[in-house]
Amino acid sequence: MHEVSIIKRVIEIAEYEARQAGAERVSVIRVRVGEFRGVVASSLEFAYDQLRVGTLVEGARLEIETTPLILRCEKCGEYRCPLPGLSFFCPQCGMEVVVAGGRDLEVEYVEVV
Amino acid sequence: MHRVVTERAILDSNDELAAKNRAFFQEMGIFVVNLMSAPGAGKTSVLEQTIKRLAGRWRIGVIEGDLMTSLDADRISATGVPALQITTGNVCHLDSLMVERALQSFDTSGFELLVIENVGNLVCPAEFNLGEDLRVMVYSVVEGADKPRKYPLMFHEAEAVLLNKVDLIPYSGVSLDELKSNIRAVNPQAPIFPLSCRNEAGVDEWTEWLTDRVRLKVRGQ
Repeated sequence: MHEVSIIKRVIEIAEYEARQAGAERVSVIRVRVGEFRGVVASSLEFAYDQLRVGTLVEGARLEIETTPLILRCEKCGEYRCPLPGLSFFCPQCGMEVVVAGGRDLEVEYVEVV
Repeated sequence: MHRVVTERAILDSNDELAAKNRAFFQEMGIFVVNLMSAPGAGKTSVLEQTIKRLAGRWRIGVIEGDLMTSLDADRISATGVPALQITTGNVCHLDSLMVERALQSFDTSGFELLVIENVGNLVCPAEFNLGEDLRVMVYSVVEGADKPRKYPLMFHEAEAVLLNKVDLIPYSGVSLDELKSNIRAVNPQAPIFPLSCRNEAGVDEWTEWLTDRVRLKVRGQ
């Protein structure tokens, strides 16, 4: 549900960048969403379709790049971890691991015309 | 066409305001807890039990977040502790702006412990910093042992997990060991407090742990 709040902010950022660049409108918004965030891509798209009307991004394509959850073991290095079956213990050595990737939630770039 | 690379965090404005709230709490010497759970896990009951034990030791205040009604703030006010209700309309979480606005109409001077009870939701509140010192999650054991695997984010983000309604274990068939091991898989560090607000088993362990944390900030010892 909080995808609405997130998309509102995405549109603000894109409009700001368009104005800064002296552009008339935005043609592409590229967003990076980590797998280990409570954010659903299809909900972002749905919210975007509702909220873009009447803004500088109305005609813009929203591209969502999902980044995988990467965990890091001090001893064995980094590895990709599928979310089902997620465990913060290394499958090789059993040591506790930390998140090294998959927590992104950012506007990577916008294309303006 | 012109590409503008921003690499800008989408929740930057929330994080900035959260930092502002945090600085305010720091200056006022208030320890702040963000209390999160799914609806009906027992956040308000945990608060009532916590107030019952700690109101004599700390000056406590409560901010209640709900979609609508002031039912929870009324429950807390009945304990004698000042409570302010935020109704979000239909927003599924509290954010730092709502907390900042609440602070403008809520006299927090003299508070040593402020608990912000978030909107009941097992996903969204985990995404929004409010400026708190401690994130605490309440989970009702009758919701099942599998949820930490299905909803890992909030379990991962919590710095303490309270397992409420353990008095219902005999009727629900849930394995406490399996639940704890599923929590450990996604959160190796956070202390886990099995308790029952109904018969008050285990509540003291939680409030003693909390009071140590409050003391550390408020008294610096």
